Amino acid sequence: MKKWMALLLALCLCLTGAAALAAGNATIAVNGQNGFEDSISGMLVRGDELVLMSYNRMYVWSPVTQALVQVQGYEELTRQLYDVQESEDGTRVVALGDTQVELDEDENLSLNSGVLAFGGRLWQLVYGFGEEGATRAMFVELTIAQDGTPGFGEVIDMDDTLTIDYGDGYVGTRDLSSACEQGGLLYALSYGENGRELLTIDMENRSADVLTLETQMDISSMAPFGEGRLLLVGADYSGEKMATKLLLYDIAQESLTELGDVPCEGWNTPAGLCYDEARGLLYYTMGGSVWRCAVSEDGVGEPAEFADMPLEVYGDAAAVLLGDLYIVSSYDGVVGRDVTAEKLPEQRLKIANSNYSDALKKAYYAFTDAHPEYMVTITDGATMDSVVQDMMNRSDAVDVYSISAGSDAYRALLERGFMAELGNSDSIRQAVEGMYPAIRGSVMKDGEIYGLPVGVWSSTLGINRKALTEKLGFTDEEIPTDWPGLLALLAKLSDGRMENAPELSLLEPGYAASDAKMSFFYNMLRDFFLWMNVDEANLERSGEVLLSLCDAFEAIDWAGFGLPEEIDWDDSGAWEYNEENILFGSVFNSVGNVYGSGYEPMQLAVEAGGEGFVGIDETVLFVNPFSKNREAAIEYVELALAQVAPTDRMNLSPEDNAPVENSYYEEGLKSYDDSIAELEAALEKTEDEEKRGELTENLEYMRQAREEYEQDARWDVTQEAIDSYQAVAQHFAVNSDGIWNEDSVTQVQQYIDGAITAQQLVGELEKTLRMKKLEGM
Amino acid sequence: MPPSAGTGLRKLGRSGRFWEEKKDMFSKKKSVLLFLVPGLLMLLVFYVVPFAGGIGYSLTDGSYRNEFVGLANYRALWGNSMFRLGLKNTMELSLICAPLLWVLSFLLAAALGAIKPFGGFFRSGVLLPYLAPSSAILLVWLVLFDYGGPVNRVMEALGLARVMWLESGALRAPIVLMFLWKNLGFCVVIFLAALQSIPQPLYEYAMLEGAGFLRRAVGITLPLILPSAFLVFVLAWINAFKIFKEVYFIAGAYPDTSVYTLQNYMNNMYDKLNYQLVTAAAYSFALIVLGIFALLFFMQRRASRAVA
Repeated sequence: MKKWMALLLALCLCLTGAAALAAGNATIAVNGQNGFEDSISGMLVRGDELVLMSYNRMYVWSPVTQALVQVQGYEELTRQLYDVQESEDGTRVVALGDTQVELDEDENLSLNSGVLAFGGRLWQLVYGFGEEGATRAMFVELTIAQDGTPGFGEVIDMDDTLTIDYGDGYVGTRDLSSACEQGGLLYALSYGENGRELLTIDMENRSADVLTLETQMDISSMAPFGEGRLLLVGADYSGEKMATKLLLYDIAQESLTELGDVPCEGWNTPAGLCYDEARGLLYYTMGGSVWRCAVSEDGVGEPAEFADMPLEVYGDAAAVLLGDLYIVSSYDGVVGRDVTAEKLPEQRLKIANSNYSDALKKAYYAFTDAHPEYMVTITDGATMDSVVQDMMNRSDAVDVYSISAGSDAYRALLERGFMAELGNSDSIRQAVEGMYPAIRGSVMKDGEIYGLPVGVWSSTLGINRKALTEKLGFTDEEIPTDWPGLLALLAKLSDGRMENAPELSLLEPGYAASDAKMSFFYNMLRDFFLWMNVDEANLERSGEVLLSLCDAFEAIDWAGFGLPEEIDWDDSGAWEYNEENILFGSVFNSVGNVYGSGYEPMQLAVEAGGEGFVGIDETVLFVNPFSKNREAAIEYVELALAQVAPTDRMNLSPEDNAPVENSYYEEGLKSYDDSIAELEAALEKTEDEEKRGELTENLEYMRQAREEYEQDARWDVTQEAIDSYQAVAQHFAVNSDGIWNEDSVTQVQQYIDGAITAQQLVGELEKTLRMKKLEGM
Repeated sequence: MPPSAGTGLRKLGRSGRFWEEKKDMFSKKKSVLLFLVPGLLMLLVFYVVPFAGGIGYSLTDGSYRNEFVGLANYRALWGNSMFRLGLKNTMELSLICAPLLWVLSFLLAAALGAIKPFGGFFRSGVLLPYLAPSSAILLVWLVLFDYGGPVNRVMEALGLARVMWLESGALRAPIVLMFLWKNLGFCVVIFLAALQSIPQPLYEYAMLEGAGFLRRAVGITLPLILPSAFLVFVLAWINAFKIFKEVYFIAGAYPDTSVYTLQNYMNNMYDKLNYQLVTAAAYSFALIVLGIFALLFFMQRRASRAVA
């Protein structure tokens, strides 16, 4: 009886497992979904499980339980890499499992978060790096004990066989993607001197070679095709349009054969290649869908779409087959698609995410959960021109678009009525009506809402009030609030005032004198155009106002700031942040942005005493008015609204602005405490005076860092930052690309170079602006 | 009893006979219609239907709802100062260019007709600018009329001040010159053909009768080339209406106000997706052109009768 019961139980379990395996599509791990907040960078199949790696975490996912489980102890394991011990003879050593890895002076180790399988074992790449860049690479075996505890096993030192000289004295390490084992060797794609190269690695003999492929095509992805053969996707850029072909590489013959054409979309090539030997099918991802086609030595069959793919998948993205699931991994998640699916959902919603809205991508999961009858394809290939073309053709090919609002084409679409009304949606209406006036205005016409802003960006010049008042003797009243004031200040600074404080520089490193001149002029013009756009009446005085600004601009001696004539980009100091700058070229405005070291964003008025404006650009979602799925499309936009990140919401709206705590704060603080405890323990044990001195210094540094972390990192968004942002946001005005074309850019360059006078420049710009305004929309 | 063929022809006269013969051709040879069908179909699909559709388009709001707005687009168009400026400039340029081209091409044709040695060479050579691509001619013009270019250097040598030919109202001069240079050859060829088709004995008889140059020109040349001269004038005017790409290539979408043409306006409104105003402008202009050419045809008929 017991035997029968056990058999019955086993049968039940098997059936459950089989049912689970054939359960259809799976959302395995998507950043921001179901409490998962990580970015997967490595994936492989181990037995009947999926192993996923992020930079410091390891997960296992089982198709039976459909549960993602974090492997405990991996994060601690990775710390072994940074635990450098110094032996009595002064040798620096890192213990990776049982292997002692000797380090050169100044050499340190770093872990590549990818994972690969070779010889039935899991391996990770560990890189050595010093002051000159990469020094060597090692394959380190990743073991998993019976109880699930991870550990390091064998270490294979590949020395410098996987380093690559990028020129200019910088040595980097090779990335390895689509790695697979064939005939005792490891094959992988890697960026090298000739773009993406096919690399063969002999781990036993510790050597690596680049295989020469007899093709002019660029290889974009790879998958094993039975024993001794590899499938490659080659892209041919020589024609007017890119063409992609499926290639077969025979390892023994060292020959490359073209199997046939595979479709591409814009610049997107088939990605996430995976060959299913049992079915003789090749699976790949492209244009927001998953495709399959028959492949044999004789050629490639007609591809057929069999599922959607919400992840952004490019080139050599990792893809595996686990049971009936084709699983793809990209930076934003891991998703599996059932390869046995026979038919697509009845209805289809197409999303063109041309402005890469994260909210639009995330809304996919909620929408498809609620509407399994819909297949949702998200593509990113739409340009503004193609959106306009779609509208002009009254095309229903796309249902929802995300585009930038800072263009004339956007204004034209809104003005001409090529966006569906969204005002009937309570959530959208409520959200839009609560936004800052300029943002709200950019999606409304005659009281109706046509778009949903989901992101906003702006940057302004920043000013260091402290440096100006305390070091250069300016009063608070002299801190400029308008362009005439700033130009007058610059004239004073260039006229010897900065000699009083030689430690100060005008701008942050990276600006040559000519760059600074150009940057200020473009900032000034941007504010001038905003001023022009805000009020029609300004058109009448525009020429006179710009001419007076140009006169003030010309009064500045740009050589008087002591900025270099040219920037030496090889000098790392060129990029170093300097707290002693008077001005900052570009301060990014966001509630999440801490204005560095006292830099205040400037809203400079064009005229003395006038109102200053801050130019913004937005990502706007809108529904195609010709869509046959308008209701569903609006619902999708509503769901996207729910997915807008809290900081983005605050950037868009003065409502719902509560400070946001850093969710990693406690974790970070614990990490500091652990490091301090380790250092204290090491100090207690060490008797060598020199070493004690070093440890004491490190301990002091760590305590100071903890203190700073405690002070600065508690909040992602502080009340102070919110207040500061809100003060700036009141002056928002939407940027327009209206005036900028090849001619105007040339004219500005000619003026800066002294080839034309201010009168000529102003005449041209004003004429164009005036004519545009008079033409109307 | 049906009239005899001879009686019928006498009754119908010359014009009637022509149409009678045509009627016979169409009724007797149905295959003629068959041959015409593809061409007529193309004409219908690519000209008549879009023309009619465009009229409908100019009467809607252009949004996805495509609501009928009557003449609102026409009212907005004629109320726009830039449209009126473009129309005025287009008319002015055509009034400068068309007569100039007409006169110059006639004179050149007369001169080329008189040249005996290398006559064929010159007659072929004059057509070359017409065959050259506009972009290539534009590049030559940009070099010629540059501030430091040959034209300004010659002017300076003659003691005149340099002119910003390409960036101001002075742009009209290079534009007009380019138009003349490019279109002269074609008009000359038409004039030449007309002049050469006049039978030489007519001039000889007239000379024997004692007719001088002026009498021969007015009494023989002018009546016989009048249809061709009219054709040249109409073509010159039509081409002058199309002056745009020269301006656009040199001065962009927003040139000096003196050379901002109607097509600049239409092109800019097209960029702004305002196809309603583009179509309204096109039909407004078409009506004006139709009026002008109706007047010209009327004048030509009057002139033909007067000469006869």
